[in-house]
Amino acid sequence: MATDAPLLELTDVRKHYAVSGGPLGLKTVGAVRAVDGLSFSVRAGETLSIVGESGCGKTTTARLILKLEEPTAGAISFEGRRLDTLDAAGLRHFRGSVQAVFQDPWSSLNPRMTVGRIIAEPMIVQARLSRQDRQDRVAELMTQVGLRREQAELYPHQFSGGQRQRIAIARALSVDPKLIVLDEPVSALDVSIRAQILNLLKDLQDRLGLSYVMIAHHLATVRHMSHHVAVMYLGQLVEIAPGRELFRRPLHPYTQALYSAALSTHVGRPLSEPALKGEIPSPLNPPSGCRFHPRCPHALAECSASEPALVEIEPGRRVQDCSCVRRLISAAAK
Amino acid sequence: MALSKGSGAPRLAAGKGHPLGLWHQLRELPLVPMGAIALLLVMAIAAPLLAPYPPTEQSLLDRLMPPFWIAGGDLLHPLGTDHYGRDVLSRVIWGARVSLSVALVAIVVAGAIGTVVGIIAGYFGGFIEIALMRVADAFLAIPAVLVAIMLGATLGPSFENVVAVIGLLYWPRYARQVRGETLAIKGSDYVKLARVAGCSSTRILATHIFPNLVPSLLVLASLQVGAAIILEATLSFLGVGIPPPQPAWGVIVEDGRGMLASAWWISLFPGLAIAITVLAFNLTGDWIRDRLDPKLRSR
Repeated sequence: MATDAPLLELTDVRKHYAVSGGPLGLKTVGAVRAVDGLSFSVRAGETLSIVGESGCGKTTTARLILKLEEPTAGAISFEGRRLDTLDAAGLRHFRGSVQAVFQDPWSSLNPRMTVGRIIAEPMIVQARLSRQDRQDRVAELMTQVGLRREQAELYPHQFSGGQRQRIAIARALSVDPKLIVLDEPVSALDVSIRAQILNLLKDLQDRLGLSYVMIAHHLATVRHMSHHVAVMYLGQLVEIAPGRELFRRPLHPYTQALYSAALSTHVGRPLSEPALKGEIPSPLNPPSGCRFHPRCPHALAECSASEPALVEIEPGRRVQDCSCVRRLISAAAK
Repeated sequence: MALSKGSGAPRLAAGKGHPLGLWHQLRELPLVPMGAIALLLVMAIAAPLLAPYPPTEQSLLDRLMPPFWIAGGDLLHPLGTDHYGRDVLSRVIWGARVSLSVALVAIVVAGAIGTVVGIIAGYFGGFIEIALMRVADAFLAIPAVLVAIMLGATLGPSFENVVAVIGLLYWPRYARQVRGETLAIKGSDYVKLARVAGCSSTRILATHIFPNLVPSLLVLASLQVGAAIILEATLSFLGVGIPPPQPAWGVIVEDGRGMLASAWWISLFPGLAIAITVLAFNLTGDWIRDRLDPKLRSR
């Protein structure tokens, strides 16, 4: 299913927001480094999950991929073409190939449009279809996501959260996209509904060969559907690995902390790692060296000195080359 | 598309699919103020049929007749006559036509200017927004009646000028409100998703932003009709609004001003008409706001 050429590729992408200050607010006094040097790629038919705490830059990453914002530096390419140099036709093709589902199903559907119209909107803009064809397609999409076709005449407020997320998914599918960016698609839903929506997404991927970039703040959410998992901390990747590998053997202390947080809810499993302490530091003034060192349970003196680079330690697996990580790996090897 | 007949129509929360829905909705209606507005509209539209006399017909023999229930009054002139012998009832009925049409046209003008300015400022932002909003603030800071008098006096009294003056003075309120809401809607996920789907700015403005502005525009408009009627009456009373032979309510109040002690009925009835109209529009506006305000509804 997966081919070698990446569908989506990010190369050293940065997004900094200027912070103004001074008596008139005209001076730039600093920059929030929301995303600071991100490189990864997604191949066709695959799911890449980006996991991290609130404020780590994962939603900014989603918005950059969707071209809702432009990166400060670095390049994002889709199907080998850079997003910042697309002409009108290229942009049109991109808009028809990449869709999104957002976190909050209450604000992602226009309350004054019928569900049928919401689902049809991308088609109205992208495809020249007759009204009848569009209606047929809407009906088909609604059945595909588990809604009834008669519900096309209703308004969003007449649906539950899970149903609204199904509507959002149907809309995203309407133009046969290649990539769907899922920005925390289940975190606003009841726990009982989450599995249903994740299974639906998995089914659709298998059937339609879709690629997903899925943003989540829980490792548990992405466990069963990620081909690759990227762990983000303060705008940087600390570890990226094939899903199975990452869950079997998390290497970076931050991944381990997230992993134990995900497992700590399981009855009868002792906490293997200390829970994370403290708040995520400000991206306005990130810590020196390894950005995780102030909260890291394994931090060494040299961790604050030099900024660790992301190195490939196994095929498809990259981790920040921090002194403590090296020690953990060699300790585990013994 | 065909699936979306009336997608802009607000759904009222109660009612749908409820066996008693219609009855509940009816019971919640502000029947008295709405009835008053209906009556005023009938008066305005059917003035030539309802009024017993033409509004400017003088009859010097019948000058200063009191209302019929007072000695000297006559059912031929139920609310009495003024100092030219013009029938007060007929003038009040015709006055509804003048006052309501001025107020409604002026509100439409103000709403149109304000909506355009507000949407441009809110959606495009930047320097345009700052410039437009400072102009709106400047207009809001000026005492309305004072400017209205000045403008009315400069332009001369006429229907068009009153409409222009009220429209010019009232648009900033719409602009401010529309700008704020446009900003909020622009930041919502469904507008971001529209952009992801490839919608143009024009399309986003027309299908996502404007339909979501309509309820609050209706609320503001219904609340401002009253204010517009008062401003028009003020201007007409001061002689810089609707020119005198025409029976605007403000004009009639002014006609009787000098004779308040002896012929109070000339000023009282148009005054009452103004008070009832303003009250009716404000109460109805409050009700519409309670039903349509998205902030109240979403809770």
